[in-house]
Amino acid sequence: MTILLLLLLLLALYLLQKLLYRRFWHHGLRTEVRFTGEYAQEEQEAELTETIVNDKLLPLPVLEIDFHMDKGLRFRDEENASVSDRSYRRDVFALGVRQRIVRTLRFRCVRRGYYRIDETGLCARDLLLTDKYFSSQPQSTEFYVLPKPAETGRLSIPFSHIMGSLLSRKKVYDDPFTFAGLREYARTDSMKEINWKATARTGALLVNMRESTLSQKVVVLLDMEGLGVQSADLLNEAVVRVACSICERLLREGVPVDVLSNGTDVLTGKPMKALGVAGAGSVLPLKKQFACLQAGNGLPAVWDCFPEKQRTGLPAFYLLLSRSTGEELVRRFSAFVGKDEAMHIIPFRQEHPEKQAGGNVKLYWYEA
Amino acid sequence: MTGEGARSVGSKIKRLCSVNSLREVLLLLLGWCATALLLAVGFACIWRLFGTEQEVTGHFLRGLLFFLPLSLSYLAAYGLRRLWQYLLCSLVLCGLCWVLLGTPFAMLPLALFSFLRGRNRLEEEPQESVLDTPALPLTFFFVLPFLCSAVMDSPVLQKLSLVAAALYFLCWAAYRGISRIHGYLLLNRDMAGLPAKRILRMSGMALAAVVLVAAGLLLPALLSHNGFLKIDPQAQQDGTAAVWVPQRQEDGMGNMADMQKLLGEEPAFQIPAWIGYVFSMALYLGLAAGGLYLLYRLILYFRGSFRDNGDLVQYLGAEEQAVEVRERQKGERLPRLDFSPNAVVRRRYRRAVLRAAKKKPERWASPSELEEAAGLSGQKALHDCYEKARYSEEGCTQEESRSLKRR
Repeated sequence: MTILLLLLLLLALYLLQKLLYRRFWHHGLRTEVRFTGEYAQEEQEAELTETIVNDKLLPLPVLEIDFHMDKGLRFRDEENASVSDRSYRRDVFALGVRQRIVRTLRFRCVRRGYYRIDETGLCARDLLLTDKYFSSQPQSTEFYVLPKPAETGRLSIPFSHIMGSLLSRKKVYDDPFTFAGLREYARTDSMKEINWKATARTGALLVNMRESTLSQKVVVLLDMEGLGVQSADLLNEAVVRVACSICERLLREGVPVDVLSNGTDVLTGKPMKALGVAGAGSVLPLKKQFACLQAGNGLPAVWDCFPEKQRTGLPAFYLLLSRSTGEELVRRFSAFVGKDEAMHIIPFRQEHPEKQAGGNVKLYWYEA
Repeated sequence: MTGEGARSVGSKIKRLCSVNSLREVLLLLLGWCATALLLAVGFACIWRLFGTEQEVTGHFLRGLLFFLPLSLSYLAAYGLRRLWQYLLCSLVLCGLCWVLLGTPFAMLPLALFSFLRGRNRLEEEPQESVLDTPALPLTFFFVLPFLCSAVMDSPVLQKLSLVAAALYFLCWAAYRGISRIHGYLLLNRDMAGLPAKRILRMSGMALAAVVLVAAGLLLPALLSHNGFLKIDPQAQQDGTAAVWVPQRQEDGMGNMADMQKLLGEEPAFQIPAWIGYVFSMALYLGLAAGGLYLLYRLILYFRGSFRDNGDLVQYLGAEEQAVEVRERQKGERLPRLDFSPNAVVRRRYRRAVLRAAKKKPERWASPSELEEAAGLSGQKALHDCYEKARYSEEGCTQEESRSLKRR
């Protein structure tokens, strides 16, 4: 009888342990998954931190944390992650009584994009690893993988062309309210440009030089049609990289840009539209917008997102980046540009067809 | 069993020699111990049929020697490459059984086991042998010698069968626990950052505690129990009570000195009681000191902060705990039984705002916004006291709380 009672006591102790874990395993248990930085460039490395707190008197010998995100981020230790349409990561922790564990995971940014972790799944086991308990906790952490800069050497020709065009236009559209200095009178100068006070002081005819405050704007148009085919993905990425690099250089030179695309912004779900971006301080926000730009199949045609000429008002330089060399696109772009100057950059992989651009559009082939 | 399982069985012997397979060695040892217990009780039971009560314990202990040929048979089965080598080795082990147990009949179980092991080895997919794995249903095997002892009027065999059953049960529990931990670690062995040591320590300690508690409860109770179940077939035929439990004060293993006195022999030298007492006290003290030291190490282990395999493990000290509590209590209501000056000031502030406000204040509003909405903008003392109670490190004093009351 005593033996039977003892066996019952043992069984009761075992069941009590199970009951305690079933009831309290998630008490005081908090998980936080957070990207250490806010952004990184393609092919750079960054860190993700997992912080687990077990603020109770029950140890958790095994706690599995899993989360998933887009597969553009590759963890160093791939054995803990399985990659299918998304990247699934599982980590195991052993938490003692009232302990906090911080684990830092390094990952490589394989693809440009916007990454977010919304939830972590928890799977704990009791002391003897007999039972499993499941739960989930909400998370909120995001990360931008900015486009890799295109090679500066290969962009010097189109960039010089754009800057040259802008500078030459400066001469044409002087601002009468600004003053840039004095120079000697030439026969082609208007009489009203002569600075009579300076002429009287020096005894030679001098004319005012004016700055140009016209909005020497560059409108960048990106065609992001096509997804899922290797070459299309590659060329679309090249389009984004080139656009991002040119925009960055223009902004650093003080040239404002408008960026429009038929590709969708993952945050808004609408076609990308960044108007009146100016100043070097806007480089990072614009890069983040480029990170959020998504290519797709069945997108509206890129000419649907051409801006209205009336709205832009003053002349601008138009830069179209598209892997497409379709006749209709060339014709429509040429018609849209009209008397303004424009450039069409077409990325290609191995060889490109001989093609002539129409009107004022300059064609530039970019080997991706 | 899958091919993976077969490979694992086949490669066990190779892993026996490696440092990383201590858990597997322990599992095998537990399995062999359990099987040896089964055989020893069976051996003692058979010997009791032909021998006397006094010989039972000796034969049981001798039966435990089955452990040696069993383990050697396992090593031979998975260590020797050729079948003829294995057969020859099995013959030698049968001979060893005869020598160890003192009877040629002891060769029979080992011959059977060797045959089963050899057949298993020839299988394309070898199975985990029941000879190396304790199984809970096999605990019922001990019922057989128990009943035999009841019929044969053998209290020693009965006690031995119960103790052996308890030991078998403990072996089974330990085996199950270790194999579960080992299985989990084996399954996730390729996982980066797996805290194998800490999992092993925590679950291992828990398992050890469970087995020790079970052993501490079961074994002393079984060893000190004097009851004996006896079945009298003759009584059943007579229609009288067939089963009864006589309380015996002594058993076959016990008071040899009294028996010797009865037989007219001089009792042999016995250890004085006070020495036994001193030894037992020393043993208890040593166990208590060991337990305390383990507890101390355990507390140190859980309270420390350290780096383990790239993880930063921190104990939530008083400071961290205060932060955690603050985080948790953010947005929670004040406890009803909190009568500290801070709580009193906050309650009064809340009451004042709710009384003065025409509509329900917004949760996100700052104190200034709340006061403005409630028309309390002029009450600087109330505002200052509340901000001090709510946000300052030192908090409000009793006087400040009282001054607010007077107003």
